[in-house]
Amino acid sequence: MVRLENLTKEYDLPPIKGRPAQVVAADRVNLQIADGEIYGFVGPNGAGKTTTLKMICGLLVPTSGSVEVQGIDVEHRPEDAQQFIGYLADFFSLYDDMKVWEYLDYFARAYKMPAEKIPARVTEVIARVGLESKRDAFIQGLSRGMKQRLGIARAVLHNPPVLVLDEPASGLDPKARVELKDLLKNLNREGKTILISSHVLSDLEEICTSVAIMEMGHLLRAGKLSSVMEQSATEKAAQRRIRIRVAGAGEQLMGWLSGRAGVSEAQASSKGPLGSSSVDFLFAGNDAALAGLVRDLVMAGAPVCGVEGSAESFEQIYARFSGGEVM
Amino acid sequence: MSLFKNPEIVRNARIQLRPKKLLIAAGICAAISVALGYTFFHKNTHAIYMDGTYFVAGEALLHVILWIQALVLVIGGGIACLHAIQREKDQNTFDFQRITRLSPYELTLGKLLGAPLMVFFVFLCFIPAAIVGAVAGHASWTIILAAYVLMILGSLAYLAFALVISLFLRRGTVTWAILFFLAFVGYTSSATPLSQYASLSSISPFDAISLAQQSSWSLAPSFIQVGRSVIPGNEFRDLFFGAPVHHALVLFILYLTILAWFIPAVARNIKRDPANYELYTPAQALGFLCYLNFILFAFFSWSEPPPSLPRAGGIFSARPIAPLDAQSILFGVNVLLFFIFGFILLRNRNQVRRALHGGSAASLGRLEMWPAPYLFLGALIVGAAMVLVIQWKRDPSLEWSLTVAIFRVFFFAFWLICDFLFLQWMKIQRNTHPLAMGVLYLGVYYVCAIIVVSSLSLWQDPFTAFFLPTPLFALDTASWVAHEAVWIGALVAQIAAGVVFVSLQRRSLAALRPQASRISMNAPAANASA
Repeated sequence: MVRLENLTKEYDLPPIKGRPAQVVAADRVNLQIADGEIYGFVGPNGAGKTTTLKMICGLLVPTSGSVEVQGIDVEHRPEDAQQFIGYLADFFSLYDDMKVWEYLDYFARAYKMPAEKIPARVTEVIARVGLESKRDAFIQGLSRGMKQRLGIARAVLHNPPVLVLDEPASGLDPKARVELKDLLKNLNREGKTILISSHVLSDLEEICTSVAIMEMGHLLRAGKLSSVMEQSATEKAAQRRIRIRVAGAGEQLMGWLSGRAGVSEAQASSKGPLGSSSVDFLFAGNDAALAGLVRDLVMAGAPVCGVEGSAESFEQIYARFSGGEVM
Repeated sequence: MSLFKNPEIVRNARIQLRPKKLLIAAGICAAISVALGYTFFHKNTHAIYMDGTYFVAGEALLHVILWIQALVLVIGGGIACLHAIQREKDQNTFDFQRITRLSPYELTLGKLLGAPLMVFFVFLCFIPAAIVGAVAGHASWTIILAAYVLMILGSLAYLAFALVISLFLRRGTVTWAILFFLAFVGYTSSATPLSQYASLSSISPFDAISLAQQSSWSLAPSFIQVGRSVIPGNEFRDLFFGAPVHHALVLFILYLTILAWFIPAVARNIKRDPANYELYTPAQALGFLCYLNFILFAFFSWSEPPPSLPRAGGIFSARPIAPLDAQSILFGVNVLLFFIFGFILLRNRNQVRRALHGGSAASLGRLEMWPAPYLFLGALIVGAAMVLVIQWKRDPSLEWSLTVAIFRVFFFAFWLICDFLFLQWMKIQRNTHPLAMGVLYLGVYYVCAIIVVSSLSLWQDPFTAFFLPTPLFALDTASWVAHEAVWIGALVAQIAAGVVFVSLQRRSLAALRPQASRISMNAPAANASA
């Protein structure tokens, strides 16, 4: 379990336009992350995600508050806590003049794994991240994706129960991202707790069991992904997202809808392969009101060929919660 | 964990000691050794020929090889250690080392002995040439062995110092650090760093070369006539509270104690958040100050050297130093030592913030006065020790006033406190380099004050003590009796200035206090649990 209690981090930024700037990167953040979770940290740049993750790892000392990993206070017993943590930073930083196996061997020794188990574990981890062919290659010759995989290999090398991954998908191509997601799911199936921050919200929605939405050091929402989305739906109970498909162009339908009561945020999509297009909008009203809207639409001559309710995606929920403010 | 299994040393060995690199390094060293050997032995073939061997050539070769080895160890190793931590920070790899299970001491020793591995290899490559030189030069094996022990220990002390610097370096400052380190090595290796008032020879590892030139372990003073002057021939005789001790023994203990101060300093910080670096705890810093003062008192030359001697080594006492002059000299050296002590004590905004978040009213009071209590305590301890040692060593026939001596201690303490309260106040200001700005302003103040005082020829005038501490060093009984009120007024002025800086610091701390009125936006999720 990872527990954050009133975690606060304040620091100064270099003066902006001659004026000094002070930042609260984390403002009394309280979280409990249960074992076996994949916990996503979401927020714009400067929201405090990296600071929070670094404080969890014991790399930054909080201004106040505490972090416990597996019941151990990270600030007071960092080395004891860190044996349970695998960490991947949001930047590529490896020793270019080492070979892949040497790099992992170094960290295996640094994590004080039993010497007799190190060669087998290094081989196992290299295979797991698909770098067998690069085992004896120098790191400087690896591609960006390979380096990222090597970073993940280092993070899981000592088999820690908690993985802290800061933007692990940044800079990866789509194929590598899919592989990364599969790897994380597999690690989670093995019982690992994964704390992950990412800008790719669709990826997070796919793999995370819980999320924390952060902005300007504040925790806007936190909890199980399903409950965050339900909570969001409850808050917007009077409104729901509706999609209407029409044969032909959707512009006329857009114009017609924009004047109707209860309709907002209408967006038309381009024509599909079958010649139909659709319009998404938020509708405030009950089913009878929606039925009335569709009836009026048909009677007005609109070639309606489908009406469906669509759930709000995590990306849409995030966009609604977050003002996108950056410190 | 065995030193050879230290992961950081193993990593450096893998990177630095690849076979190709080793071959190149060994080849270069062999070429230099052969070239030097040929030069010396060929040159001396028809020259001095003693005892059926190439005595002079061997001796010369040994000394040149020792000089090269010392240079490689100190300069090469120092530069490697300066990069050891700073480069990791630059490359963003340091966090990954900090999060491993390596203990701070393992990581520190790994850096200290791992970063200069190639330098150590080059050092070893020159050993065969040194052995040839030692054999040909009929060198004493015990002295050569001792010279190597001192060279290695001394180099390690310098490397540990370089590692301390590396720990505190910011991005893009390593070039300046290298220049500073080279200047430091040059300064401490010259004959004058410890001034003519210390009965202690040079403390640099290059002294090992001089030791190798000795033919015996004798402590007897010897004299060499150079023109009209007589200079001491035995540079390996130091005086410890007046008792002769061999300089090699002094260096051995000095290097060990320096390592014992620097290695823990790196170890206690190396895995910390860089924003919370603190070289020593206040108590440890006080201990470091006392250690430096112990060396100062122990090797202080209690007699003035004759003017013809460039360095007396304490053995050519023409006349004893007046006790009040001795106190002035000791305080003069202590200005530097107390500034080191004070800079260790200063706290940055992050540290103050943390203290404010978890602090009580009493701790807030301490923060407002910081670092005055420790400076005052340090000045009292050092001042008391100084007075006691002078009482013990002084010549009763020379002028001495306990009242003046004690007044000097208090004035020195409050003058330092005033300066450091100002620097501490500056250090918690919102600036990119607040401490550098503080030092700059303080420097500008002193330069301006010195210009004015110099132009008015008021160096030793008691009124000058209101603005500068310089008259304190010339204070004697007559001046004290004649201007007692002025001196006390100057002391009160220092205290008043200190109070002003305390109040300024109180204001700055108020801005850093946690805001009770701040409303958390994450209140709904305050106890969010998954």
